[in-house]
Amino acid sequence: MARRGGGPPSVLDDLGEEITGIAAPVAICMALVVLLVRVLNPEGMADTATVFIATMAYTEQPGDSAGTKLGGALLNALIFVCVVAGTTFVLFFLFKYRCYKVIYGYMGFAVFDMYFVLTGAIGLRLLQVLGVHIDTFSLCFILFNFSVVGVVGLFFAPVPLLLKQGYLVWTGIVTAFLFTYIPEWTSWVLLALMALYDLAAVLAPGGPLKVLVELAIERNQELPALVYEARPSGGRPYRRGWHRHRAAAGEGGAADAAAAAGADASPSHSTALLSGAARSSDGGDGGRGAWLAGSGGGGGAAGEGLQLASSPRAVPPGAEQRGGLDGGGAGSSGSGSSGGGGRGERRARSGLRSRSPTGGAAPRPAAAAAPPVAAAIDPAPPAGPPVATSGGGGAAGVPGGGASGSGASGSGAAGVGGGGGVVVAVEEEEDDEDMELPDSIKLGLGDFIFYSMLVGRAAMYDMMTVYASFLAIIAGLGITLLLLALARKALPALPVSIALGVAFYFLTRLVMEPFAIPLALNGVFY
Amino acid sequence: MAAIDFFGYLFLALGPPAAFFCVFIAPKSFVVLLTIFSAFLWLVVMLFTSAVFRGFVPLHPAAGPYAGAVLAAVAIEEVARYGVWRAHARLCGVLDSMSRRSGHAFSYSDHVHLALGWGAGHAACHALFLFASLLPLTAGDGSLFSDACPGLSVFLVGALNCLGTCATLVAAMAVALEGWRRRSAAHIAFAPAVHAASALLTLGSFRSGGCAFSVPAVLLVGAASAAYAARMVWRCAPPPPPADAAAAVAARREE
Repeated sequence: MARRGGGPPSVLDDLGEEITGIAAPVAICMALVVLLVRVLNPEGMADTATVFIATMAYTEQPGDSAGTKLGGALLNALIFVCVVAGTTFVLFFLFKYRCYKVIYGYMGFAVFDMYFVLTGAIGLRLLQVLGVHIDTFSLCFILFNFSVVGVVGLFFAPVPLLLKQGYLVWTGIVTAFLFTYIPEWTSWVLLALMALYDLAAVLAPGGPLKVLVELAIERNQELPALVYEARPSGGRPYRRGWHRHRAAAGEGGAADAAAAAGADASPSHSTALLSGAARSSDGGDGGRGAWLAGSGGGGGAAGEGLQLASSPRAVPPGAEQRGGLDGGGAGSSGSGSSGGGGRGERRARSGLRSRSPTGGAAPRPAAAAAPPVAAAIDPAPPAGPPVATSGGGGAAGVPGGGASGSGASGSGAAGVGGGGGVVVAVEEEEDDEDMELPDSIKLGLGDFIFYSMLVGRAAMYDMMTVYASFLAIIAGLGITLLLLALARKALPALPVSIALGVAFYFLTRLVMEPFAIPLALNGVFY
Repeated sequence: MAAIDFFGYLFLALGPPAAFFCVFIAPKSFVVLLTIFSAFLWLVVMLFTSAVFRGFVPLHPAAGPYAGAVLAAVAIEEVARYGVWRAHARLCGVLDSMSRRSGHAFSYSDHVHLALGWGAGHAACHALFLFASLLPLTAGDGSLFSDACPGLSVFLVGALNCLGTCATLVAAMAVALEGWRRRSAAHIAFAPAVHAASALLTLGSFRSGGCAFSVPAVLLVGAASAAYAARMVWRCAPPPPPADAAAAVAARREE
């Protein structure tokens, strides 16, 4: 904010920019999902084939009793969470045994699938609703270019931050929109269980995200994940392609070294591992940052949302470096900030979620719902190989999903592949030896997805519940950031927001609407 | 036609508040966050109010029952406004200490921005839940008219009431917080008075043809409140530092 006059700058000028840098894309994601739901599925029709993994055990029927629906929804949600956790563990083992190419390859495929097939399906439905005509060749040409740029930008090449941010937000939108096709009872139970899973995965000893993050920290690598990175605050320029890698090169094998080297310079973010672990190998990473680990959806890696196709998000080793803080791998590298090895790399990355393009418009049979990867974000050390989240169509996702959950990869990236998101606030290091580290907060894509899924489900009922859920989720995000600042260790990003969102949805629906709607219809305003 | 209705009512009611937000709130991220927090806080208050009346709804569609409901709702909100003042005072204390430590300024302008943020959140909450939530109904064909007001659609009445009340709520918050800061009884009493007046004026829609009077009256109350708040803020602003002092500060900074 420009200062007027010759006085000192106001304390309000830059305060809170990091938080609005994260809250704004979350709000945009939620708003666009609500728009898609209202335009394409205002009646809230469920499609069990679209999100197969979430409706495997029970298909809701209108005539079923409440008890039957609740029991069936619980079963569906348990299966979903188990798949997410399983894929997270698979991701852990892939990462542990340095199968980076598998992770990156699967994630690249899944992301391309999402940008081409799912986006095309949604686009076709929008064109039908709007009555716009387009020929097949033009549509395929546009989609192909869109997809290639997305895959390349997220994983392989440094692109402008805004472009990467846009692709990440679009990824969250598509996945969340597909998740809105999950039947109603299953949706609500799934949200609740994913929040609980996030808690366990990030905080419990032996939790999938926790172990993934610890491994990443131990190796001083970043886990690739789809992580949204906000722009640096305070007017500092966003520098892509810078990264630090310290001892990372010497720590792992060649692959690790390569990964650590980070082909692509991405800005290292000084991220502090709040838990104190650390960045010790980095000799003073010194980054300070706030990590909010969200294990979102879990690993779903695969697809966290998109159950249909596995769309692991793997960041190629080179790109991974790039990704740095971004969250690991897939997403993070996109932002280019992935700082590669070194301290900057220690970011919590959230697992990537692979999204399987289920195609909202065209339900995919047996799509493997890639369980969202809950991202336990833990400010982990340098990026590791991208966490592929599987999603694949029909196939159980690759652990990518788990990755997302696991996102917790070091680097602060809050990546949540799957469910959770890790929010990482990176502070600039004072002992800046070789580069300036931007300050930014990163939030895993899993958080975007489940927040938007909740609001999208609310949009199927009424706009009043949408507004209430929106405010509650943003408030929950703020509370989580506050807890992060107090706890100074990786925390799950889903529980508070989901709890508040669900509570306010039902309170608004049951308590406020009977009072407010008659007031409004009678022209009374207070 | 549906799009014209939808966007017409939307911009009529929320256009000026959106412009206000873009000019005064959006440039400062902290104030944006404060606005969102304020909206959440007032949502909680509205839920509390709704819970109080949950056992009585649906109210008989007459001015009497709705007057009681409105007055009770306004009373609950004015009690909550005191809580907002306490939070605002604490926030200003924290920001003041931060500014001292960091060498930044925390001026009267910042106080006003924070007060506007609180007020914008209050207005946004009411606008969303008492007007914007009805807008999707305009997306279809046709409109909705009440028997008492056949000349103006329910949505048009709601849009204009929303516009006037939003101005009233923002102004009332600015005046109230400044009043509490200066311990000025008149300013403290201003907020409940204009809030209640604006809310009770909307009950004119129950009388046959009453909306032709109540809607302009609500708009007038909003405009008058905004003017009063602007005048009060302008008058309470501290005098600018002397020119030579400013030049001395600038010279020291250059050194």
